[in-house]
Amino acid sequence: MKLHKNKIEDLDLIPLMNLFVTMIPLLLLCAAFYHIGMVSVSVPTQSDEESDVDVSKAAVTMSVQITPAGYTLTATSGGVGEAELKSLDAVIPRSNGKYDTDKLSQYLEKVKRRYEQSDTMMVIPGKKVQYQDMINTMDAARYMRVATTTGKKRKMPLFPVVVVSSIVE
Amino acid sequence: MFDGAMGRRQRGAAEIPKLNLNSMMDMLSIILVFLLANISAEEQDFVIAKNLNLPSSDSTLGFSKAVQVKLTRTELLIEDTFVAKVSGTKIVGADIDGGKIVPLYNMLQRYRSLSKDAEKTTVVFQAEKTFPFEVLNQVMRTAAMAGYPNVRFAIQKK
Repeated sequence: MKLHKNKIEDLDLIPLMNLFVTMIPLLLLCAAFYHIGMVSVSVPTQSDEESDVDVSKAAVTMSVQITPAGYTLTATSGGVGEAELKSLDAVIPRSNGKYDTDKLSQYLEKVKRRYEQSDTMMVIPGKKVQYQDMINTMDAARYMRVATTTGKKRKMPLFPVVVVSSIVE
Repeated sequence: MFDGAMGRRQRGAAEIPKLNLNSMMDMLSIILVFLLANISAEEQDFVIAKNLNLPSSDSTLGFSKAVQVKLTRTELLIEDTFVAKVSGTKIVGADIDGGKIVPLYNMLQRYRSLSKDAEKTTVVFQAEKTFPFEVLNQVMRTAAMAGYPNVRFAIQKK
């Protein structure tokens, strides 16, 4: 009698095992190993309505032309002078055969600091520009990763509104 | 002494050995946690076309329901309905009028008229990452002309 009381009973794991074995196929069906996201853009359209761009704001719309040689940047605005806009023009050549997205981010960050209300960018890829390069350009222009005081990196918005256009021939 | 050893052996043979399930439980727990981390209900509705490599991006924007236009290496589709053939990086066998792909334009307009959310002006665009902008632009322009000026590019999250 004493012996029985002191014996440590093993935990019956069989019901838990059954539960796990049932849950695993169910979760395998629902699991996504390929995570899909979206990149939102607009295509310019012809409209009879008046433009909703506020010309009183000191904001600029940056145009990034993607050519085989690299990026060509220009700026347009309703509230900023011609000479000032001209000073924002830039060319970022390809480096080691790749588009220099880091330099593009750094340049756009400077523009963003100067004209904080700016949020729109026009991407104008050349005919032969690959889709992946276009996406990389948009990624570099929409947000920039900045290190915080705690050492962590956070996304700083640059030009999150993207319009994709083509060169008119 | 001999008798004692024999007796112990006989008693041992009569006992049914218990299966040690602890290591099995550990393994199943790890698999379960991994699968729970990867579960996503919203991505269940998203069907990627065959023969398609989506571009990768660090965008955090999630999937949203809209008409899906798929441009694969072999065909152009709306949802899963065939629109035109793709050869190399060109759309072939479809009438092109004023820069728009006529069968795509007609089908998108039909979708728009049948849709309950007629005010929705967004299409989800799945396309091969190596395609040149020339061919993507043709499809995007057609969508814009058909009343879908807002495009959401489907990407693979980095």
